[in-house]
Amino acid sequence: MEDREKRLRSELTGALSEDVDTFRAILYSPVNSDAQFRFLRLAGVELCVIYIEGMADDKKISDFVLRACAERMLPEGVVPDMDYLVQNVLEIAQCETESRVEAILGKVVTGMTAVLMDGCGEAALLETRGYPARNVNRTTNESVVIGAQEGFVESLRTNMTLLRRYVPSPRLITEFLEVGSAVPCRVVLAYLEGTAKPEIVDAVRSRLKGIDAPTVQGLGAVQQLIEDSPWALLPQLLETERPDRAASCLMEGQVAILADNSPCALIAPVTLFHQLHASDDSFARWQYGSFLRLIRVAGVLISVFLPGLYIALTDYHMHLLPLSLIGSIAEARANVPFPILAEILIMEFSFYLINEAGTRMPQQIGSALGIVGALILGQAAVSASIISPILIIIVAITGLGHYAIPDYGFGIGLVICRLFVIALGAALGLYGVCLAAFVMLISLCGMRSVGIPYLAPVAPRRPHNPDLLLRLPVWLQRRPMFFAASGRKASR
Amino acid sequence: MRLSIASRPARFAALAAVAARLFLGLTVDAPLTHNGAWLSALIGGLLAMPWAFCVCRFKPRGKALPALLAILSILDAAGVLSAVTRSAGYLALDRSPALALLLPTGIAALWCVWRNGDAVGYGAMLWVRIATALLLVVVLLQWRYYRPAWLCPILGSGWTAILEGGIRSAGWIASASAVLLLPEEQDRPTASAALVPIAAEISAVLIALQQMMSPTFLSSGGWLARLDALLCNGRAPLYLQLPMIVFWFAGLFHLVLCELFAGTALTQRVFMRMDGRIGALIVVAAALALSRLEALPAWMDAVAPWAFPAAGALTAATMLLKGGRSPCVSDA
Repeated sequence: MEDREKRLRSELTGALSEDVDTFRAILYSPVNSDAQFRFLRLAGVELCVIYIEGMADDKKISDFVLRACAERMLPEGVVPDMDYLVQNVLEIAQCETESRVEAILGKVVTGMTAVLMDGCGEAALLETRGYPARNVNRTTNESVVIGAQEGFVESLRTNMTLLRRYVPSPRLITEFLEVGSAVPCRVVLAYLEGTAKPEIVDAVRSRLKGIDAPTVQGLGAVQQLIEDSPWALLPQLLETERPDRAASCLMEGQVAILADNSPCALIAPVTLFHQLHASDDSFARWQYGSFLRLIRVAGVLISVFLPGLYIALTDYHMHLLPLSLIGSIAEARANVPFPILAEILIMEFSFYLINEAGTRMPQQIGSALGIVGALILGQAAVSASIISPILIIIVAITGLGHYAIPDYGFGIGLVICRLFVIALGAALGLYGVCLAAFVMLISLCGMRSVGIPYLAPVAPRRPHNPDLLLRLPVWLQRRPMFFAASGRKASR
Repeated sequence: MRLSIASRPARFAALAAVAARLFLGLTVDAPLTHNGAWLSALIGGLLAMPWAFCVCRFKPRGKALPALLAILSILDAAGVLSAVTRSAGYLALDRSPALALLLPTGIAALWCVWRNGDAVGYGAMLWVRIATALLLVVVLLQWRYYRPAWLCPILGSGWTAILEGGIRSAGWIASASAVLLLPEEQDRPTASAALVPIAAEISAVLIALQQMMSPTFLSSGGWLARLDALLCNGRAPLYLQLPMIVFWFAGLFHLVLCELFAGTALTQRVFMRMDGRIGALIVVAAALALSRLEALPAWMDAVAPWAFPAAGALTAATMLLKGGRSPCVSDA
C-alpha cells in the first residue's frame, strides 16, 4: 500500500516500461479489466495509450489517436518527441501535457486518455470522454406550464453547455474545482463576471476549496458541506434542475455550482423569497406571476399552520369558532375514539407514507396507490370512525398547500416546522402556536446564505426590484439585486 | 460568543418592546390612570426621550449604567414572563402547572437570544409590520363596535395619577429600550431616540382603541379581571378574539426577548469575559426564577416609580463625571 502511495505521488521517469508498470500497479491491472494499455510505435519510438474502457470514447481513440499515429509519415531524420506528437500527430482538439502520475490518473479515470512516450517524462492528456449519458429531457420536479422545459442531466459538460446556451456572454465564467480528498468529484463554479459580487464568489470558492471530506457524492453533499447553518431546517442554497432558472439567477448576480453526476445546480446566495419563486413567474405576465406567488404564500402558511391551529382551536379555544362549525366538528367526531392529536398524526403519517410510496413505486403500478389512498385513507377510515371527515379536509388542504411549494427541500423543511407547530398547538393551544411562530420567525431572521441575511431584502431592508412576493412589470425591474455587484444586472 | 446588535435592528427591537411594555403596564399591570392611560403613555414618552437621546448619542462610559439597566431589564422580563404564564393559564390552560407554561417561553427566549441581536431586531422589524397589518384588519372588522364616548372622562383618575403613570411609563421605557445602549456604531443616533415618542404614541393609540371597546370601570378589578376585559374585546364577535390573542402573545414574546437580550448583552458589558451563551442561560434562568416569586408584583410595583429617576440620574452622573462620546464597551 505504501509503495502504491509512493508511486502515486511520483513523476514520470521517461522509461516507458517503468512508467507503465506504475500505472498498472495503481490501476490494479490486469485485475481491473477496465484499464486499457495499448502499445504502438511511431517512427520507431514506442508509445502507450492508457484509458478506461467505457469512460473514454473508443471511436475517438481509434480514429484520432491510434490511426493518426499509425498513418503519420514522419519527415526524414525527425525523431518524434512529446511536443511533436501533440502538435503534429494527435488529432484531438483538447490536449495538454502533464508529468505528475496522480494528476494523469485523475484525468484518466474521468475518461481522458493518456499517451506515454518512451524517453519522455511527460504524458499527453487527450479529451476523449465519451461515457453514456442521459439526453437532455423535461424536468421532473420543477414542472412549469409555460417556458422552457428542458432540465439538467447527469453530465457536467452537457449542463455547462446548457448554461452557456442560456447565458451567451463572454462574461460567464466557469471555474473547475475538485472536491473530496479520496474520491474527487468535479465541481464547476459558474458566475457572471461584473454582475456577481467578488466577495460572494470568493466566499463560495473558498468554501468549496475548504471541503475536506474524503468523498463527496454530488451536489447534495456539497450543499451540506458549504451551507451557513447546517442545523437549520430550511435549505440555505437553492437547488434547481432548470438551466433557465440557473441562468436567470446568474444574471441576477448569484453564483451557480454544478457537479458531475448531479442533474441540478445549486444557487447561492438565496433568500426565503427565492424559495417561493417558480420559473414560470418570470415567463408569465406580471399580474399572473404575482397572483400565483400569492397563492403559493398562502399555500406555505396553510401548510405550516392549519393543522396546528385546528388542534389548538378545537382542543382549547372552541369558543372562538362559529357555533355551527363547533356543531359540525362535534358531530363528526362523536364516534371517533382517538384524541384530535392522534387523529392528526395518523393522517399526517399516512399522507407522507403515500407520498413516499408514490415516489418510490414503479410507474406501472402507480395507479394502485391512488386507489389505496382514496379508499383506505379516505372512505374506509371515515366509515370505520377512525378519522373524522373534517380532519380529512384539513389534511387535504394542508397537503395541497404543501404541493404548491416549488422547492422540494424547502417543502420537507416546512413539514418538520408543521409538526413542531402541531406539537406546541396540542400542548399549549394558541399560546403554543404563537410561540412556535415566534421561534420560527426569529430563527429565519438569524439565518444566512453565504453571509446574506435569509429574509433580506425585507429584514434587513435592502434595495431590490419589485419582484419579491408581488412581481411588478419587467420594465420597473431595473435595479440589480442587493447581493449583486453595483452596476447593471445583465449587460453584456 | 459576543452578543451584539446593529443600530437599525436595535431601534426596531426597542420600538416593539416599548409599545408592548407601555400597553401591558398601563392596561393590565398598573391601571391606576384609568381613562388617562393613553396620556400617561405620551407623558412617559416625552420624559424618556431626552434620556434615550443621551444614551444613543453619547454612549455613557462606565459599567454602572449597563449594570442598572441590565437589572431593570431582567426584573421587567420576569414580570412579563409572569404575565405570559398567567395569560396562557387564563385563556385555556388553567389546570397546567405554572412552570409548564413558563418553561416553553423561557426555552424559546433562550434559543432566540442565542441567535444574537440582528435576529432579535429584524424579528421585531417584521413583527412591527405584521402587527400593523393585523391591527388594521381588526380595526376594520370591529369598527362599528368602538364607543368613543367610553374615553371620557379623559383625565380618568386625575392629573396626579396620570403623572405618576407617566413616570412609571418612563421607567418601563428605560428597561424596554435598554437595547439602544448596545449598538457600537454612532450612525443616526437621533433617529434611535425618536422611536421612544413614536412607540409611546403607538401605545397610546392601542390603549385608546382598547378603552373604546370596553369601559375602564370593567377593568378596575384584579389582574385577571383586567386581562379578561382586554382579551374579551368588548361586544365584538367572539372570533375577533383570535387576532387579539395573537397580538397579545406575539407582543409579549417580543418584549420578553428584547429585555432578556438586552439584559444578557448588558451583563456581558459588565462582565467582559462572560460567554454570551452562558450569560443568556444565566439571565433566562434568573428571570424564570424571579417570575415564580410571589413577591415579584409587589417588587415591580415598588421599583416602577423609581426606575426612570434612577436611570436618568445615573446617566447624567456618568456623563458629567466621565465624559461621553465613547462606547461603554471601550472601558475593558
